[in-house]
Amino acid sequence: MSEMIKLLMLGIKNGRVTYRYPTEKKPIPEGLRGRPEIGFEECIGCGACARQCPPNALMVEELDDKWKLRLLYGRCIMCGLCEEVCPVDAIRFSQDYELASLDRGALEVELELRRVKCEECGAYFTTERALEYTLSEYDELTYDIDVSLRKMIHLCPECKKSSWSDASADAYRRIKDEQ
Amino acid sequence: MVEEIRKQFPKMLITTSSIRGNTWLIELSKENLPAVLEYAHNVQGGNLLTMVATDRVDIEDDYLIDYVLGWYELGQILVFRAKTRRGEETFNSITPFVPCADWYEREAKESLGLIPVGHPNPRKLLMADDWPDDLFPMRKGFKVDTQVPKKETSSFPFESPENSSMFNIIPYGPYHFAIHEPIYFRFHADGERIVGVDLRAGFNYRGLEKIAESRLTYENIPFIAERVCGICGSVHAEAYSQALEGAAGFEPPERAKWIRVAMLEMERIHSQLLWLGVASHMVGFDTGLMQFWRVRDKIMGLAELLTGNRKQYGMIVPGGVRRDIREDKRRTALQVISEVQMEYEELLGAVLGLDTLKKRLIGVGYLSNEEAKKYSVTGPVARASGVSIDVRRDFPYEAYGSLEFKTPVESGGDVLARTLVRANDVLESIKIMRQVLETLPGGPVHEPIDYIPPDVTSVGLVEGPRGTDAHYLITGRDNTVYRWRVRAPTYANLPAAKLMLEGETLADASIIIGSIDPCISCAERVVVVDLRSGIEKIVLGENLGRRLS
Amino acid sequence: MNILSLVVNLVLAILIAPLLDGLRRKITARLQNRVGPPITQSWHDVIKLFSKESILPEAGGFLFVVVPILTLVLSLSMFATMSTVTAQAPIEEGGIIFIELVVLSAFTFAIAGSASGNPYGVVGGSREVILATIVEPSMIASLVSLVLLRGSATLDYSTTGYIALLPLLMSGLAYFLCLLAESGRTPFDVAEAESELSGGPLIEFSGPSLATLKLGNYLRNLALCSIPAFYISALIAPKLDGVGYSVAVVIPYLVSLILCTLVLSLAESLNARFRLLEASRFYGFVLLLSAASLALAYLAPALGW
Repeated sequence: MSEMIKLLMLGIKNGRVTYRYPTEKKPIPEGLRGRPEIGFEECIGCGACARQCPPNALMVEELDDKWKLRLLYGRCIMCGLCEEVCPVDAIRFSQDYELASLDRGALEVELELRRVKCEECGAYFTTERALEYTLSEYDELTYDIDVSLRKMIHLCPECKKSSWSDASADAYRRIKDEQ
Repeated sequence: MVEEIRKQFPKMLITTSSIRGNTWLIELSKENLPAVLEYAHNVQGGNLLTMVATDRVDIEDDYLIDYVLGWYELGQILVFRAKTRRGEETFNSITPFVPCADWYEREAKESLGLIPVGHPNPRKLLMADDWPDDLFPMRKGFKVDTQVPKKETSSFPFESPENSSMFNIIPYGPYHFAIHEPIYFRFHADGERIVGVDLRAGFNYRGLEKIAESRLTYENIPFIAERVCGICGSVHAEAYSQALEGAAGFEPPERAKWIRVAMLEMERIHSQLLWLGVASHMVGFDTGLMQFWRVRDKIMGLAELLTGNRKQYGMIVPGGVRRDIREDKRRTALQVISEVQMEYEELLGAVLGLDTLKKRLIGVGYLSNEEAKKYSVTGPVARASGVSIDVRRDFPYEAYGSLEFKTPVESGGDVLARTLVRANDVLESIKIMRQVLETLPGGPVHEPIDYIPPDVTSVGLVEGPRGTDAHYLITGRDNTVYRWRVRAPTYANLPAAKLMLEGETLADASIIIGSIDPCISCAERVVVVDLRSGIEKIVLGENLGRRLS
Repeated sequence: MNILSLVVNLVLAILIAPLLDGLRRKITARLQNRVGPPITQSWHDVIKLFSKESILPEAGGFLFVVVPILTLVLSLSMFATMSTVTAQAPIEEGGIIFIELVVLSAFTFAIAGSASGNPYGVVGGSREVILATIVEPSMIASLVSLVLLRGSATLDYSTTGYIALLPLLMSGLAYFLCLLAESGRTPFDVAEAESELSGGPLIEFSGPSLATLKLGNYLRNLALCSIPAFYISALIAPKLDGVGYSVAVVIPYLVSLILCTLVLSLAESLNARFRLLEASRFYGFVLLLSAASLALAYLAPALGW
């Protein structure tokens, strides 16, 4: 009997603990991993986020001169790996947790960037922005600009491979000659 | 223990090697496995932690069959390995004398096609009824995105007790208001008394192990591992990280270990509070549900503050943890823990003293000490029957070696005993969390693992809220696992449900099943196919035939 | 036959019955620290159910369609036997008919269970039968003792005869305890046990038939909760004349409703569900109490009380 009274007291003492959602909302702390937002201005199109995404919510499609990034919120598990690996902090987690929608299209985000051609073979290989980003990082980091090395940044991976072996053979010969 | 086995069977062992400090690998021939395992499990009292079958077509052209046994008193893990060549897809079943191996061997049969010879009832376990019998998903040759044709007819051979035509068949699940888990029990009931039980699992099988092998990397897997279960997510991430770090011979930094303990204990508190609420609901005491979950909400708010999410914290990754606990958050956390402790103790006194509640829990669903050992049950189910096993104490991992805590054990063996064990678990967890938060060491919280050697077998053990969670791992090349097997505690506890249910009344069925704290998502890992329509047809048909006049 | 009284009763009953259930839900919710549904929620539920389609199970029979209507009709009939807010009852000697209707309607739940052909429904129905068999005698005994004490079987607010205090209180207590089982809520919802039996007898009903069944249940509850008004009026014997006329009639009624709802909510939120065996033991005790009150009520004039 006394337990029943204790329970009754608990019921009366604590009052109302639930919130009258949606007019009242529970305050959320900072650092909540809500909806990931892609910053369209910052994204350079490297694709690191899509490679890390465990449930394949972020997907990259490459077709001719277009590079597309799709984010499907339905698959996103809000793990935060994409935010960790993005080199330019383009993808950030907001505090928005209300993602329910009656419109499936509202749960998909698409970002399209232009790709550039390789200067040797003409195949499309990376996005314009990624190229600009690499070049600016390169210029910042290197003091003496080795023009031949810098030119290789404009080549696709296949051409880079063959031109690198030529360049290293040249460098080797030069070093041998100097000795 | 290796010495004991060697003494008993001097000629049967092929090789023994030490994987890590407390884990040994013993290689035997296939024919000798049953005798050695019987000795190890029944005579020496080993606990069957998991059994894994692996297809090694691309490396060695054979199959591996591993039985992993653990000795809590000694803190040792032994992996008994046998190989069988391609073309000889059979092995000798140990189920006739080690009944807890039942489910593991059935799973080996349906996912890899290795037939356990001598198994009393090798029916499908996790695959859907209309999954073709000759398609084995865990074989390396089976691509993860294969489209599978459904079989024409689907039926599942249920076991029935003798004179089953005299009894009603009462279907329990897979949609059931009370159990909150998709599992199908078939009761044969004589009035209100349950005479026979059979169960069908497999409604939540998602194929995670196959996905991990094919598509994910070492870094991605902890996030998927966490989502094996909604309630005990961190436990799986921790077991995986432990197994991987063990394989690489890596020690995470001190501060990371302590934060991991904090995460795990926080999860334990929240899980046990959830269970206490659900158990109250199952016996009709909804106020208990509301009150326990009110306290639990405080813990989830704390989790949100510390980790960014109320569940699936995403904190434990190989190498350490992902976020640090800032000073102000640490102080808030201590405050919340104190609040929770006060409210919980108040609530516990009021609820557990309630006569109407106690009457529903006493004497129901009894599991004796011998049966608990025979079926290798784990967690609160084992501890309530007097089997004192606790991975935190017996295989100290992370920071548990430096923490003071007790392991609650009861000997009643009934649902009340399990309730008391879980209730005391919460109090111990609160104690541990307070110790951790008060004496958190400094330092980094994450260090990258440089190199993970391939083809290393490793076992990670963690004490989850429901029992021992064992992750078995064989590292691979290409930054991914070669084989990953999740053995959740519910997998070991569910077969014992049959024993607990027979002879009880229907009214108590849900609380008995609930007292195992079934977490079906943990127990299974397959692709859901159209099983539901198949099963429902069978049940309805029976119902039509059995309509009582 | 007082037509005005009958009409007032029926209209009032249909309007108030779901509101009473909503009030119970609200009080229970507040005791559990929740906001709870609005008091009109049960009305919303019933109206929504009427708009859904009714799915008939293959195993159900002709009874499956009939039982909800039967429940509704029986419950409504209860309001023809007693007065709620009017001084005069619709019919004379309604008390006896009321008792018969209570017992009959208790068994319709069980019939609903078997009519569905679902094993859960059948088990729930059989549980309901067992519980009813145990509870109804107590209910009958306490109501008969009320009738004896008031000296007349007409359920209205005029009091004649001796009102012996002790048997009246015993009978009242027994009645409240029986009310707990009759209302089918925790701790005595063995029949409907949602978490054990997936709703018991209700499991196969849907759409309009479920709505009718629920409405019938709400009405029955309202009727049962109206009876304590007669205990109260027996205790304070309102003077049915002058200005306080309508007030003197309405107040015991409202008090009775609110008191019953409060008792039901408290019992629901502070107890776990009884198993059939324990429920039987409990009601064995209640049977003793009500039988004693009946005996005392019968002997009261002889004892000069």
